[in-house]
Amino acid sequence: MNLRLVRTMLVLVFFFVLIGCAGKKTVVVLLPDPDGKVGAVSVTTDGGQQLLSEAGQMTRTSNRKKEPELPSLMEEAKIQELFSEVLAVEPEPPARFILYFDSGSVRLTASSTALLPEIFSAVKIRSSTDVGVTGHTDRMGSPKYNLALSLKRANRVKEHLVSGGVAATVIAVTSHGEANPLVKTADNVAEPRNRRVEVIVR
Amino acid sequence: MLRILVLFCFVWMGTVVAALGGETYAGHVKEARGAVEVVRAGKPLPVQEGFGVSEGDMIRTGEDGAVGIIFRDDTILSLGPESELSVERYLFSPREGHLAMIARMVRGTASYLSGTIGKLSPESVRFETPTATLGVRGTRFLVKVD
Repeated sequence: MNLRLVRTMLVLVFFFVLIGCAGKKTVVVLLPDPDGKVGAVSVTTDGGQQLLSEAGQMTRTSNRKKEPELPSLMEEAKIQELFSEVLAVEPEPPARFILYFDSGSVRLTASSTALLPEIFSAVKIRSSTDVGVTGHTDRMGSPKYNLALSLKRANRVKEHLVSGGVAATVIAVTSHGEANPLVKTADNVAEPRNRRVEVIVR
Repeated sequence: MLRILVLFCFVWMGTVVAALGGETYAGHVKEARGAVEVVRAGKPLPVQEGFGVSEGDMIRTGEDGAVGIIFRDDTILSLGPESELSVERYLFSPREGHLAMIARMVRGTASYLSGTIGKLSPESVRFETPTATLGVRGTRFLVKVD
């Protein structure tokens, strides 16, 4: 499905929704991430846009034709009043582990081997049924070779997890190649920190 | 020659394993309380922890319902009671540059924490309500639609 068709469909859907439920109010509140960082949310109507960029900032829209309200701060007590159930059900963010290997091989480095018990522990504590093992490469050398090596390494990590007691069926192995670097570099630049396998325990 | 064959086998294995290892789902339900259902191809399905959520699913909670979902890119989406939201679009294949997430919320309360799609391609993420379009920049927010 090409993008234009998708956009057209979304616009048609919007019109039907508008006719059906004119006057639905939307309230948006920006919160800090679990690690305390604060991002930004843009709230757009046909009448204009507001940007929330501070923790606790909120805006409100009641009508697509009008600009969203100027950002204001929502008190903690009000946030709890409106959102207590959804805040209570929020899953814990996944635990992320980064593993490295001896050069050109599928052998974990000593310090990465030492991380394995922590991974087993995270899987157990979370009763995880969804563990992602993802290989990554840097932008140096042959993409084909890099991709194959990153997948071999990811599969090797999966073997480690399975021998540590993690069920193979909950583990999904993939590779992002060079598309998801830890450290951004120009093409053909070696960056050992990117040549990693990430284990994400959800 | 043998080395090329071995490498090829591993790549192929990796792809097959990736396909089998739940890669077809957009995400999984991590928490579910009270009445939660997913409407898929017009059919309502009961939801419990571990339920695989797909692109196109419409997630609905009842008066006492609440649900928390972790997507493959680690986006975390939660719904409170009496809420309804569709996962209109979900694409996460960074190697092919396929990144997209469009959520459309009809009513209720939601919390959204952006994941890798939002990190790699913030313009590919959109959260729609009846009266607003939300764009995200590496962030967490709450939405209430009345």
